[in-house]
Amino acid sequence: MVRTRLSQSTISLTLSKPWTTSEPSMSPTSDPLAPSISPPKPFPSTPAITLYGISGVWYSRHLILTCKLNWILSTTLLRIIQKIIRYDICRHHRRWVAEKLGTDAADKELEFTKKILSADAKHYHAWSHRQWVLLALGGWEDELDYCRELLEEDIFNNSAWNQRYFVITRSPLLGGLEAMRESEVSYTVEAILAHPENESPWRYLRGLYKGDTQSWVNDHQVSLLCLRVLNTKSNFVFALSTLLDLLCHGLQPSQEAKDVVAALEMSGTVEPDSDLAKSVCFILEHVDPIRANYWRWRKSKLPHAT
Amino acid sequence: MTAAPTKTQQEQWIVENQVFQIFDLFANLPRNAKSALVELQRDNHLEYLTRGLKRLDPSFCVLDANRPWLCYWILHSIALLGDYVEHEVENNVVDFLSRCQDPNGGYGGGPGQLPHLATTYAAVNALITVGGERSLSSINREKVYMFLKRMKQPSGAFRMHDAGEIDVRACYTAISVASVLNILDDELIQNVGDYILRCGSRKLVQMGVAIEECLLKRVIHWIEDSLRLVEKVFADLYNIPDKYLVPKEGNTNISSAEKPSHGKKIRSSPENSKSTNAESKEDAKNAEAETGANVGCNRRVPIEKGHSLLTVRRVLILVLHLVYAHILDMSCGTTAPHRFEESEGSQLDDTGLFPATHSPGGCVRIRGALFPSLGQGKSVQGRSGAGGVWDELEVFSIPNELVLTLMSCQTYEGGISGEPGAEAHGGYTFCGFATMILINEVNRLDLAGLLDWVAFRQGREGGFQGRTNKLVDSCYSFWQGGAFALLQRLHAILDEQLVNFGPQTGVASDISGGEESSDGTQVDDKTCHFKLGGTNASCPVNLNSIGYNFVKQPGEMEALYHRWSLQQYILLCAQDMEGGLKDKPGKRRDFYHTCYSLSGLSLSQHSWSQDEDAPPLPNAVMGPYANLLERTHPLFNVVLDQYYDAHEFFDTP
Repeated sequence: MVRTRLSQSTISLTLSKPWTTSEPSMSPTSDPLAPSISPPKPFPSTPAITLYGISGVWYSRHLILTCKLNWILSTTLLRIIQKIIRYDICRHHRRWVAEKLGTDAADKELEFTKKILSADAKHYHAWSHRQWVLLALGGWEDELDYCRELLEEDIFNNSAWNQRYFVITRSPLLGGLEAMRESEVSYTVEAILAHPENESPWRYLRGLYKGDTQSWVNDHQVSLLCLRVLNTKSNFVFALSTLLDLLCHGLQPSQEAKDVVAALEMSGTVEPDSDLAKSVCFILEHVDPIRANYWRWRKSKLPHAT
Repeated sequence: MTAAPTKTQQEQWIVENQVFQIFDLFANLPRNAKSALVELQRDNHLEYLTRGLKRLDPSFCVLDANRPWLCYWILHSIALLGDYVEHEVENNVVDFLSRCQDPNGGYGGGPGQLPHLATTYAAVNALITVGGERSLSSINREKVYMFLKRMKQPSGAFRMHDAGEIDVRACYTAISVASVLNILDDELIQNVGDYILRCGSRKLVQMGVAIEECLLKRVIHWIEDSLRLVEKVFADLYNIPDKYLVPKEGNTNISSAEKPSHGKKIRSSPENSKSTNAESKEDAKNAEAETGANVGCNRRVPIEKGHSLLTVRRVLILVLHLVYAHILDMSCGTTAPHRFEESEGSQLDDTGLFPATHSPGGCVRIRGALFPSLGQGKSVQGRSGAGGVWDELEVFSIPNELVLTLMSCQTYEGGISGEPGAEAHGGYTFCGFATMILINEVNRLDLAGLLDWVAFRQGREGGFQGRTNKLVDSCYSFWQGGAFALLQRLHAILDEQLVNFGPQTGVASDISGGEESSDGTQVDDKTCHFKLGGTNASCPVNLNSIGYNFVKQPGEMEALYHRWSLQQYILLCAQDMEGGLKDKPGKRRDFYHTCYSLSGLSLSQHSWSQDEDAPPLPNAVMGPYANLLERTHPLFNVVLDQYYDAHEFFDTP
């Protein structure tokens, strides 16, 4: 039929021209996501090989997208031809194809990065690429779920926490950091209570109040969380550190807080102090000796109680 | 909760087991044996390094892009060990690196390879480490400057190489090279800080365009080439104006479809306009000129071929429109479903395709993601210029006003990531931090947050991890340990930030350290206090002296990590018995880890010398005092003596 012949001649006419040698093949039959293009190596290892004219050794994610886009464009041509013969080139179809281009590309790229991440859930450049795809091409719908999945597998995966932060702050489908804060705090508190020695959710919790430190200080959930962990008398370094930060930012400690901290002070080794923050620093120097210099410095920088 | 250990936990326990086994063994040894175990195996390391250097003989593999890096890693390690390389080998290195130098500036991975920022950084540092007139004069500074300018992006960041990645590391390598060669200027530093801190405004526009400039240009090129090809074939073979073509399906769909949907011509390079009589005639003329064929008669063209050609052409134009529409959706922030409704009628520009003005208001939607936008932004209207399609593309790369986001490379954790949104990472933290210092904008970083993050990167093993909940790696002894070395000299800014609970905007850094004096006392001839809005005499900071002054001033606070533990990790766990250093027990040695472990070790040993000329006290050096390494510059990671020589050499502009 005419259409098949059209498509064939289309391909031969428009896709056979040799561009610069660094262009990937235009033929829709070649898979632009061929395994020979491996993802870029993580920092700070060897730099990409940058020989002129040898496309195969470009360890650039953009090459992947080049191939992808060119492939999409060339295959889309076929679809468009079929559509055009029937319809006006009207804006709805322009929109449709534009969306399709974006959505297709997004899906493929997200799948691609997912594969890498299933082998190495912390692969730095895969995550970078995934974020770029989300911002550029969309596909946010399942991302928060994906983060949850990864965190269920490994609650210590800081890359997944980072991605979660990225999603709640950047996704157009969610309301932004402030809108998400309440639910995220609950989620994070739960994660912390499961593993108080896990640094990631503690930093994430702090991050949820980024730009709004006062809310962080005033949110009882945060200070109560610290006390709860401190009461267990184990794995409480981050709880103490958070408490210290809260105090430095003006938290007025409750009597309970003072009691809990006092209970941690091992008699003889730590000098009891009326200044709670100072006590906290003392304790930290002892329970977190690798950071003794840091805690000592923090103590020296405490705002003096009036 | 007694859930099964996660992957992170398992891996961590394995490493901790190995490390603590070594530490226990060490602890239980008699004193003599202890001393031997904690000794830096200089001879072995030097042998490993010199052998490695000799292996870089030009006769070896030419495709390796790493050789400037290898030169740097090896030479720097040898220099840290206080040793020297034979003259002949030095000359070979200088010759080799000269051949890597691109005639248009910058160094590639090997002779004839594309210049790349990272290899330029490595080559320059290697040549400085070699030192001496021959080596230093081999660097063509003017060309390097031009290369850096070429890599400079309108957004402020740098691109690693042509069509390469843009990230914090690229910024560091560029700024470091410029600074050390005394070619840093306002143009190069412009907006670098913005990129690192309020990152990616333009990058996001570019991202929002779905493909970066180069890529997009290639795609557009491809389409345009195809269109030209179609025209050419049509003109060459058929020489017939459109109106004589009878579509096979006998309807008017094709001809109506020929018109642009808004009834206007597509504005771009002349070849892209729809097939019209005039155009065909012009093409026919061209064809005649080229082929000398007789183009007189109007023949009836075989319908399929004409149809297919025209359809192909239309398709290509449609695709081109789609790409533009895609771009425009992104940059103008209209969401796809609504854009075309809005763009009816008078709001189009002269191409008939694009809305004439940016959608006003507080938010710009890029592919659905919301970003605050700065005012009205740059419109895509009224572009003139012969560049055709390229004009449109330029719009998306220049203006800051189009989209400004608050997405920073300093993440919520406090560390710095390679790109905005990515995870805080030791390597990028060092790069970002050093860059901000070198461009005199370090006060814009949240230093307390950074310090808190990096402090927690030191683990029970004593070494540093690159990211939260990742494994220790000896190379981070430099990247993370280096951050402490930098912080030591920024205590004034750090203090100020603590008082104010955060970084100030708009106050320039005071690099000269010491007390903040309000009378503009000059600590050093080459810099002076510079405060915005201050009453004291202000003078512009000499950018190229920042590196020099930074090391000259003494660190007035101690390094805030556990130096002894770090040294213990490096000496006991990172040394390979046969020479060289490695990531962690169980890994193989390599020159990269040798370089950065030794660099970290050096920083640690020298971290508490108030007087730069006085050697460190014995209690700063773990193991025999002979373990002491040469001092390295914490910003550039070049042995200090070599740095001073180079600084003097390049001081003449």
